Amino acid sequence: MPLIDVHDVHKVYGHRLSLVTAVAGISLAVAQGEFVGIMGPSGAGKTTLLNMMATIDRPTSGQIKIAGKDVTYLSERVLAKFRREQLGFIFQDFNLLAALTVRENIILPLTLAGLKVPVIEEALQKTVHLLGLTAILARYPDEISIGQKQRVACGRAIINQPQLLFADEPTGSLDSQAATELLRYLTTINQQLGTTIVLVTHDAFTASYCKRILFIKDGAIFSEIVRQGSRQAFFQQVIDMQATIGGGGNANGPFTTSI
Amino acid sequence: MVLLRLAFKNARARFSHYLAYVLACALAITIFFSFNVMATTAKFLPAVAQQQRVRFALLTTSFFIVLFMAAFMLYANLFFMQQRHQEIGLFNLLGVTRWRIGLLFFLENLLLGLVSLVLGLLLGILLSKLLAMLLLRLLDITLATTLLFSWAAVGQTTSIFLVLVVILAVMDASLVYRHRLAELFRQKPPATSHISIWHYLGGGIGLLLLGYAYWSAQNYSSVVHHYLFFGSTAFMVLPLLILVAVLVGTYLFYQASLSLILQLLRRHKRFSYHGLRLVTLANLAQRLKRNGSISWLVTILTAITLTILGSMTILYAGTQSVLNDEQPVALTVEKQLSAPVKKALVQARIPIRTTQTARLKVVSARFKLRSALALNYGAYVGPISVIRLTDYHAMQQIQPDLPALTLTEQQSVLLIRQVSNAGQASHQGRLAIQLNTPQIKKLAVKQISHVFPYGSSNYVGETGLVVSDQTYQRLAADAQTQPLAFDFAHTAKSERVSKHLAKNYGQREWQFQPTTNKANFANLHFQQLMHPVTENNANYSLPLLNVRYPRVHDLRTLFGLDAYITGFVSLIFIMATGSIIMLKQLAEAAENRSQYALLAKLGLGRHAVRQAIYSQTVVTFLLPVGLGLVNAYFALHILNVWLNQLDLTFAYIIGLVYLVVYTGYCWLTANAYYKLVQQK
Ligand SMILES: Nc1ncnc2c1ncn2[C@@H]1O[C@H](COP(=O)(O)OP(=O)(O)O)[C@@H](O)[C@H]1O
Ligand SMILES: [Mg+2]
Repeated sequence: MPLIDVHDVHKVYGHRLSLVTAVAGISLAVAQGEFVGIMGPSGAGKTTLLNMMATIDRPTSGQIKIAGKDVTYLSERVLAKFRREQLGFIFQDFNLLAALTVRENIILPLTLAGLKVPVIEEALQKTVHLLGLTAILARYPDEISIGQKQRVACGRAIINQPQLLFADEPTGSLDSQAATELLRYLTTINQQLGTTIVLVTHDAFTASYCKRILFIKDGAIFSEIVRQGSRQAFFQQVIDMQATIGGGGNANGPFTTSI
Repeated sequence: MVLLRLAFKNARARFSHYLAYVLACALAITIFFSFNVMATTAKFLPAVAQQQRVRFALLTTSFFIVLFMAAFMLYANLFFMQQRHQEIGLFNLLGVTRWRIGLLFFLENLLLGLVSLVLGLLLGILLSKLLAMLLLRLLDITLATTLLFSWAAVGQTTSIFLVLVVILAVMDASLVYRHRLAELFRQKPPATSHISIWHYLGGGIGLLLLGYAYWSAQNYSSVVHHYLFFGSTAFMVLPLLILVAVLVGTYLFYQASLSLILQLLRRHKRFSYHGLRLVTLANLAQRLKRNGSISWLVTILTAITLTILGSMTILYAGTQSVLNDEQPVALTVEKQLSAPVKKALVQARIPIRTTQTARLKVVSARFKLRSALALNYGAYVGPISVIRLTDYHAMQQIQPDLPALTLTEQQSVLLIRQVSNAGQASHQGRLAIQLNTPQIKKLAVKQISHVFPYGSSNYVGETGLVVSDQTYQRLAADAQTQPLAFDFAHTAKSERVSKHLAKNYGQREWQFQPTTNKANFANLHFQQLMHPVTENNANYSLPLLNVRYPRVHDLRTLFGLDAYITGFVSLIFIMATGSIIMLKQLAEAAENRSQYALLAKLGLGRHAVRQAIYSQTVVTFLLPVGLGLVNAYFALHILNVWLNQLDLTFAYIIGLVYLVVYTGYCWLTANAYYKLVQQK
């Protein structure tokens, strides 16, 4: 049984007069422990699809099952609890709370889940150690670098040891070094903790860290490639596929030269 | 015109945002208009006694309303401008000339101002009758009022507020015009900050100052003894010290103590690692910091208005008790003037319930009271009126609150005014009074009383002595008076007749002149001069006729007018400050939308979000008023110690009204905030 099972999902925005179809009938499956990438040009519907899988948004029609459970019609309250306990998120713009310190930002999901102080402290130590954030725990988001911010966001996403981690363009605002670092962490999490990761990106370098990539165009799945050999070879494959899709693709992305 | 349409659209889109502002303006306009129409409507005011005074009070108050409104509108406008920095910058980037942006803002402002004005005037026309009736009621006047309206008042209101609005609109437009682009896109400085040594220091000092002030105020009468090195001014110095401590303490409380407390709470993991508490605490720290100055202002102004209201009632109650001391009886008149007075009363068909008379002997006396406070009676040398015990007890029929006495021949009861004795311990130890009469030189004072039979205005030197009948018999007096008391009910007619009598006979008085040098008590006697005497050249005088009910009426009028004006001014004040706090919160809501969106993504239910928003809003709103109430409580406590145990009910009621209005604002704000945050 796949961990995520998306069946013929549609998402239509707007009112009668100005309808926008963001997702037009997508079906896909993600197995436990996978590291899946979703690629496509800007406006293809990647974020919309991810948000629906992450139960943040509801499909207009179709069905999404997570761990065998249909999440499409669950109540807001149940979904909130589910997200709190089972899912982790990393966003492009980090979404750190400016009023909270790094430490407080990271432990936020655990306090929301109502865990006890010793449990929270232990989880914090582990996460912080893994991501190398010990020195900046007392600082505020305004006082740290962009790379550090994204690592904090990552820490917040994994501290509750979610079985599923969603990342929407996590490297979008990072320089190549910080991006590489973050992607290594994600790979570690995926391999060591067995966390299933779904990552949206339009950047070929980032995508090359995934095991499998789904290409989306105009709200539908265009094709799919699976990594077999080295990451460098996979990267070339991604570039080629982007060229095939065209239209807003990012074959000459900022990291192309850094390989 | 495109610009006008755009301005109109903008104003409409932001109307919900501006609602609180518009309502506060409209309310002020309503009150301004009503006061004005009352002051200028010819058929309304002439009916009011003391009309000059009422008119003056109404006009002065409306002047202050304009001043206050100008300050409020200026503040709100600057705030709106700050909110719209980005928008202005954007317009500018899009190639709209600054002149046109300025004009756009000018038009928007004008529209908002016009809406407030029309709303305020309509409400004013509808409500002015109600407000007038309330005033008449408080002034104790029965008068049928019609709908109040005057074009002059409409014109005045319109022109004053239009001038205000235009000035502000021009100011806004010129601000926009002069702004540099970079400045408009300037980011807000981060509201987060670490706790420094200054927070510990300032926060600690703030709390200590507040604690010191409250403790000293609560224990004023005993604490004041530690300040006696200031001499007799200690009684003024201590309240001043307390006042300064409260002002500075409150300021430090908002600037440092609160941040410190919230930070310590955040560090206390067992407390803060719980649901949304971390976020709530952090947001609160941010909000309270941003609202620091306005919160301080609200706290202080709340305290000041409540203290004024409270002391007003204290003064009223004080004046009331002075009246009760001086003239507890409907009418007292000297025997030889009683025939025409009685005739007038009978002619007016006023049912006289009881009459009572007594002979008071005037003698020279000397005594000395021990006192704790500087406001003391000290040593007294002068004439006093002596009443015998039988006459004293006979008066209980009219004055049931006269305490019953028993006296031996060597004892007496000293009657002194309550105000002269303010704040003194009534226990005086062994006290004696010396009299300058051949038979009796000295009497023991068994006790001191503040209740005068016939009222203190019938006693020479406003000082009296009750002695046993035997002692009275032996007393050789310098002079004698014979007051006659008439007891009748307070009705409009009896009040009118009393007033008339007071007008006819109120000028006549006994005068008492020392016959020898006052310094030599052994020779001191008082000579009673012939009446009527109008020019006052004697040291002591006693009116031949005293009436109570016109004075009761004046007192009510005085208090009613003050209560009316203070009530409305404080209403405008709470509306204005409430809407400023509300505006600030709502502006912040837009800023915090992404925060709550994130929390929802992280799995926070709507219920928890709502709860967090409510608790933050409640603290932000009710903290300043709450602290203001606490400050006012202690201020009134001191005043109450000074002015004796008097009534504070009115101040408490107004305090409650403040709380209720602010709670209403708080509820509105929390709801609007929640809606703004939930908007996708
Ligand atoms: N809330 C929304 N309302 C209306 N249209 C939307 C909304 N969100 C996304 N869209 C539209 O749906 C399409 C897909 O958007 P998105 O999923 O964000 O694309 P991507 O993430 O691939 O760049 C776009 O055309 C976008 O304009
Ligand atoms: Mg996207």
